[in-house]
Amino acid sequence: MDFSLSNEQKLLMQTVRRFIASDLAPLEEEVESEGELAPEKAKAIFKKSQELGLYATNIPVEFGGAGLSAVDTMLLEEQFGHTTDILIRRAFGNVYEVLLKCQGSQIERWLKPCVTGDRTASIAITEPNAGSDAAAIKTRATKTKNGWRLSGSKHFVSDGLYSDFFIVSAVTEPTAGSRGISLFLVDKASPGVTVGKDQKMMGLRGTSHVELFFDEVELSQDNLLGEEGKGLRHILETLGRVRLAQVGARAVGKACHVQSLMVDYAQNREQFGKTISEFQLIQQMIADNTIEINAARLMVLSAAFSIDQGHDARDLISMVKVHAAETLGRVVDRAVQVFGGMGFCKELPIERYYRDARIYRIFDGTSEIHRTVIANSTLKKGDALFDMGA
Amino acid sequence: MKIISIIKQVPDAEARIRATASGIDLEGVTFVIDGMDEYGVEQSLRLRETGLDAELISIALGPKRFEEAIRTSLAMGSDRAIHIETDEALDPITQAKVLANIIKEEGAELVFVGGKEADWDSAALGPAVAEALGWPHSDWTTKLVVSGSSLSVTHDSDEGSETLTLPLPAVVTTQQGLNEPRYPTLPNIMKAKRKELKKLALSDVGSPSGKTQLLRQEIQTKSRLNKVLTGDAAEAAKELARLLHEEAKVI
Ligand SMILES: Cc1cc2nc3c(=O)[nH]c(=O)nc-3n(C[C@H](O)[C@H](O)[C@H](O)COP(=O)(O)OP(=O)(O)OC[C@H]3O[C@@H](n4cnc5c(N)ncnc54)[C@H](O)[C@@H]3O)c2cc1C
Repeated sequence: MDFSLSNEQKLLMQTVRRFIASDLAPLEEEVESEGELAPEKAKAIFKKSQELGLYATNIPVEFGGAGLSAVDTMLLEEQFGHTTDILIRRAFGNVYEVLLKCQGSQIERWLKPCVTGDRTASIAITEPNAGSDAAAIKTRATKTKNGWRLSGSKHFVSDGLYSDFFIVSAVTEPTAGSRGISLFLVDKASPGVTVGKDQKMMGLRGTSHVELFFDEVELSQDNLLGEEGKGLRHILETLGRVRLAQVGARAVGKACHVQSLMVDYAQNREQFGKTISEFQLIQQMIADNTIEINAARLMVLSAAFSIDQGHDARDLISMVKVHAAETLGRVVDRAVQVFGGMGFCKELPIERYYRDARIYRIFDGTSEIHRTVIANSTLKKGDALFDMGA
Repeated sequence: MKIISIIKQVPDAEARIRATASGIDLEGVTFVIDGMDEYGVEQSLRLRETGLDAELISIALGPKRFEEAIRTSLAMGSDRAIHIETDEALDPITQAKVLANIIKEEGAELVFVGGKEADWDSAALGPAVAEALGWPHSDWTTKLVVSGSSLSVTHDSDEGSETLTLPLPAVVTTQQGLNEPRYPTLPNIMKAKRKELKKLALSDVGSPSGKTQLLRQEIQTKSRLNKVLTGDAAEAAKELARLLHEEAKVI
């Protein structure tokens, strides 16, 4: 079992790290205070990142991406975690892998423009009355002579103000339950599509989260993504890797970022005539962060390795989703504690990291949902889920 | 034309360096290509991008770990590399002799060397390479244009900056201001994997023996003696001269 990184992997990480430090980190405070990333700045970081070959690296080479392995993707995504959601979206793109279900002419119209950064897509599954229970959605697509007619509403659609099309889940066969749901590619400009309000959040400043309303939106057969009735299955198959990257790996990166600031502060802040890093109660927090971050990273990389081996990594990804998100939560909480009043004060970014971290336990499946998945799997598959020798 | 960039790997500027009784403890330290050397690699890339027909070669002399710095230069865009692998700590003059042999063998016409090593803080390697080759040399170079068989350079001098014309072949030592080195792009990082990295041992280049020996390493510290000279000016000046001569031994 070789855990070492290749030169190429190290270089990739260094390039991303340098780019984030020099071009993205300086924008963070401005986004936080203004509430948005100025369009010309978004364009500038996109352009530079694209020149570095860092845009849409998760997409296979045949569609214009970099075709990175899952392991390499996670190494990059961990570095992405050092900056904020909106800056990651604009600099590195957020091309959902479910778009790889595009066929024929759909590839040119929806997939490739996302890889080149000419178009941006958001994913719209959640509805006010259907969150964890994604099969309980009410948005309905009915067959017409030439295609489909879509009606219903969504909310919490990340980056919805900026995106120009949406991947929307809708019921196509009401009697078939979770097998009666399909995915549609819906242009924002289509008649009948209304973007509602930007739902203000606790953190993730700069990224919009919107309501969407569909009022008898006429769609052609070309707007159906993947197979009819397999919408939830397509999501399940493809969202795992996104989850591993955007929650698992990024949580590890964020935790590293915060831990580094925390250790630095502990070594400089003096009370009672010594640095607070000399107090054992502070040292325990330092140690726990380091232990938990390393454990979470190993979980991320082993799940990624399993994907690269062609195995079904869904159970592993659920474990990562819970563990990495909760590790980040504990790490930022300890950081606030070690920084004391300055951890709570808006003069330092610690309180922002604390706010930004909280969503990790909620989106992309709550901790409870993933624990339920893991419990069910363990009950069904037994020792294989935790005992290597079994 | 062949252009050679001499490169080195050094501890990252943010690395925490510890000194122990047995020397500098580099355990756990992150190493990077010396920033000064990146200017040379970058400049060679720019020369080619502005139309010069050139082959770009990186050469490094040092331990195995230097490989990473070499790969960085290949990922930035150099065509191939030569690594003379050794764990011996050679002084700059000895290094220069080894490097000069390879530079001659390759038939290079332009050599870039970082202005000052980030680890040893030595600025000797560039001039020493020029000396060993018997080539003209521009130090602390901030601007460079190749025209035909000559080189126009602007470099810092004690009085400010001057612009000179040198015939090729020549050695140029770089510094901040010459350019803004690029980061390796993802496609180039992937391509670098397949570029040639030739390995040589010190015995392949004549087993040079250094004139210096590394005895001890410690972290440099600065401290003040806080000595105040009293008495009238003439007497204080005399005392100062005596102290500088006898105690500090600087005059
Ligand atoms: C910032 C942000 C961005 C988002 N981005 C998107 C997006 O881009 N696209 C999109 O479609 N959605 C998005 N969402 C929605 C997100 O995925 C949901 O919020 C999440 O799935 C939880 O659903 P819910 O909010 O409806 O909570 P609910 O499902 O109502 O859950 C409420 C509580 O009940 C618990 N619970 C529910 N079911 C069970 C169960 N079976 N067993 C035990 N406990 C249970 C949950 O764990 C939770 O604690 C986003 C949300 C936020 C806040």
